[in-house]
Amino acid sequence: MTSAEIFEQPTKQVTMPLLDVTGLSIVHKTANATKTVVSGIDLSISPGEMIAIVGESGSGKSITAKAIMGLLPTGLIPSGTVSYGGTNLLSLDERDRRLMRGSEIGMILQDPFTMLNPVMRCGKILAESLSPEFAKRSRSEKRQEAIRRLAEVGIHDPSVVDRYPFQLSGGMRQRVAIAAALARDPKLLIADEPSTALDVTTQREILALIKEIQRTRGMGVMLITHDLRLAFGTCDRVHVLYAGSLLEVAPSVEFEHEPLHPYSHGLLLSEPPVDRKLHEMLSIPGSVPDPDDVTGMCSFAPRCQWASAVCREGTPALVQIGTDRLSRCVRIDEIRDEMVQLRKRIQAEATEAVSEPDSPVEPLVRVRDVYKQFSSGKLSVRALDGVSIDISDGQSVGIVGESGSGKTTLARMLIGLETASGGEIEICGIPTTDWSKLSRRDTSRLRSTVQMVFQDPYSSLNPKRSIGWTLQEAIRTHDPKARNIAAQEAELLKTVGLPPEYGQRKPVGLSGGERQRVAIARALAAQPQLLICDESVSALDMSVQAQILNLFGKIRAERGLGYLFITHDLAIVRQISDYVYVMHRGRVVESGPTKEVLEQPADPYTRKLITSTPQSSDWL
Amino acid sequence: MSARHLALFLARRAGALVIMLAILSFLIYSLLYLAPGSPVDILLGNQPRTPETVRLLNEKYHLDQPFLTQYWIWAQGALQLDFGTSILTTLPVSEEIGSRLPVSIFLGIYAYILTMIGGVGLGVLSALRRKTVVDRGIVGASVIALSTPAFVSGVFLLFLFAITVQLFPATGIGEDFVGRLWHLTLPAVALALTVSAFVLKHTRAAVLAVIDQDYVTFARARGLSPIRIMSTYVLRNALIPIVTISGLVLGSLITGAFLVEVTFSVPGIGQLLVDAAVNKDLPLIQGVAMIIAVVIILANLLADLLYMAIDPRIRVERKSV
Repeated sequence: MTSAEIFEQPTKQVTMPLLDVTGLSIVHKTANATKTVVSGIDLSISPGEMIAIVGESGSGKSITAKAIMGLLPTGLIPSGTVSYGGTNLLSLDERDRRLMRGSEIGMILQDPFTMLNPVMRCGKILAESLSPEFAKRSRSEKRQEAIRRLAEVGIHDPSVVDRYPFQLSGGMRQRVAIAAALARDPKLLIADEPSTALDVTTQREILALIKEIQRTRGMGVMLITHDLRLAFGTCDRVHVLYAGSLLEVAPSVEFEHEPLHPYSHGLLLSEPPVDRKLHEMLSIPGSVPDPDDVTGMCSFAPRCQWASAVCREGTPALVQIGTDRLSRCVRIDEIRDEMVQLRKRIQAEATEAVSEPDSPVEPLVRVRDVYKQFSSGKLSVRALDGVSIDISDGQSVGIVGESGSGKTTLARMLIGLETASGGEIEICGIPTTDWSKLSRRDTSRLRSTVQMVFQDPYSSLNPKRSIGWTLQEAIRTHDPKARNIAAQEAELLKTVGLPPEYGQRKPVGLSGGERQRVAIARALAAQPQLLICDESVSALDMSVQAQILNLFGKIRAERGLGYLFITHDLAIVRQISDYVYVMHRGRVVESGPTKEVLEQPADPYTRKLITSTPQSSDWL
Repeated sequence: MSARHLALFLARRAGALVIMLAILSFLIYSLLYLAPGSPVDILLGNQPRTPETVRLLNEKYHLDQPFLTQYWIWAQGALQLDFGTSILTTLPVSEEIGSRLPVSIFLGIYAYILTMIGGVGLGVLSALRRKTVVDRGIVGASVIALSTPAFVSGVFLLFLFAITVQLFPATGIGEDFVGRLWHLTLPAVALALTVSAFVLKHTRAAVLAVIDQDYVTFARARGLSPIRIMSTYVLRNALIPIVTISGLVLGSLITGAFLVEVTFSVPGIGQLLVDAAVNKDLPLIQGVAMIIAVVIILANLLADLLYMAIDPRIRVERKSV
């Protein structure tokens, strides 16, 4: 080894960590009960290190971040120590904590659309964020500083300081927010899902920016995300949080090579790959539990295929495995080989499904040169610009695009929620460009041809009505003379993998995945030939997303119905559709069989989308 | 928004205002025919019905003309604030209104200021002390205030502060500005009580909604001072919906004061309207109704302009970068 190589080697620093969290627990106290949110978290960040906390919704990852910042909502009470520079932050009073915020530890939040004060110009947001010594400087000096700070986050247009947040795109707002969070030059930045609300291409830019700033400033970064691959692609170390406790901690490279906990293993396998199509995705059954429901045992045991009696005898400890890895699985030594074998088998069987026969004579849906103009005042936007697509009976078609590509407008046109400004749409041979001109018979025929499953299962079900009521209503709407409604209802629930007792429940008692199953059952009540799924899995947790994708596959095999899958996620298209259209700014830029388009993209935009999809190596 | 856009907006709003007033004036004039009895009977009032008086009335009010022509003549007069003469006092309606309006406007604005200070201030306080004794106390008191009619609270105020403790005068409206302020304090408080409870509830809800916003959390995460967060984040954003209702509040305070005016013997528009209604003095009713309509429409226009001034999302063009 030459001396140069020794210098290159990142020496494991024995210096004090920047932040050291030990035994952090958070409880939610209400008048009647005390609920555990987070229990016994240990983690540390060294200067210049970027770590990830990965978890699904309800894992407690955002609450952990808020506890470190001292911004917990009332009723949430932390215990343990959060040590920063030798001081336990939890013992400081609000005044001292405020002095730490922004100047020692900064934070950015998930949604750039709600994070910035809507009535304040960006320059002012930056100026007020600067350290107090700037307060006495002149206006123009502050403005210059704001422009300089914007340049650091890649905004080289000085006029942005005079704009309001709503005049900027999501990516630009997130850049402004990053600049504001870094205005007092904190040594640690907590980024809570900073790219989740953004498009894939923007997501990559924002993470690349955070990474770059982290390197140049030598800052510590704690990235909170639900996406394991994104964590591997950006961070040095990954912490997996589940139901309020850490299940596994490992350096990214080793983690990706071999996860040492059944949950991380399952999470990795539930993420659909973009480079190949799987027969069936491995999904984790059930959904994330409440921390209090799994106390005194391994929190993952109820969903784990390897769970045995020993897993339920007390909470397992986070034990060291090898040099710098930690796992909370008590059976890891016994099942390690089995997990390796399983992953190998799944990777080996990843074959391309048999391609569909060439398009039959008459397509079920025929869209020709459709365009749509939205205008407000004198502004007019062309949401769709000469789009033509075909969907044949039983075919699964994907439309991929980012926000503003027009994909949702197109879907809404197909079910008559939006009317085209021009062009032709034909479904089942019925011209449906303008639904208001259709006869009642045609409308009802179309309704039983095309149905839609929306993105958000939390708002698409009537909270006041039971699941059974919702399904029966759908059955009766489709067929007013229907008999055996109860039997049909049970059949629908069975199709989507829910027990018949769910008919009596209300949506509030259901998890996100279960609600989406109900929404699918409701759409199936009309016995459609085509199901339009508008981002139908993107609001779901990763482990649940795979379940629903598998369900779509199963329903298609059983009922032979076709899909129009609208999504921003190339990996989902890869898994679910035979044919894909790539949309960008209201136009179809590329189309073809999914395998061909994703493996040999012809359009530069498609290529950009593919390279932007999070992957562990060489992503940023 | 450029000056051109602002001018365009104002022109559009002015146009809408004219159309609204035209419709309203038509409805108000129709009262003459909608009220029970013939127009002549109504306009005669207590005068004896002789061929002579009927002829005079027909001439004066053009009752022999077709309805639309009558309306047109009346509307032209109304434009110049000529609503005819009061049947009861035989004075021109515009003079009657002119002598009462300043008092009503003074009382209305006085009550408006009290409403805004009390309603917004206590609303913010109760939102910030959410779920504490202070919050529950304020909300409880506001329910009482909301369900107490102004003439009841007016009598209480009179008893407490004009009779028991003689701090304020019980009647009269004062001479100069200070005198008027002193004389109208009790009526203004009575008037403001109910409405400020309404403003309080809205403010509390608006502040609670803003406090939970990400931008407030993000402001705290940057270490901004609590005072700054309170003023430029919470209040600035919470006031936007309050401003939209404040136009309605001002309008209703100026015109809806009749119970208070009667209780405190304040000679304002409200009392005039009551007198006019009791005596079936139709020209007077028409005049007062028109003035009330104009005041309410103007107050709303003012609120809209204010709304534009404080919310850049309305004012500034959207352009995405």
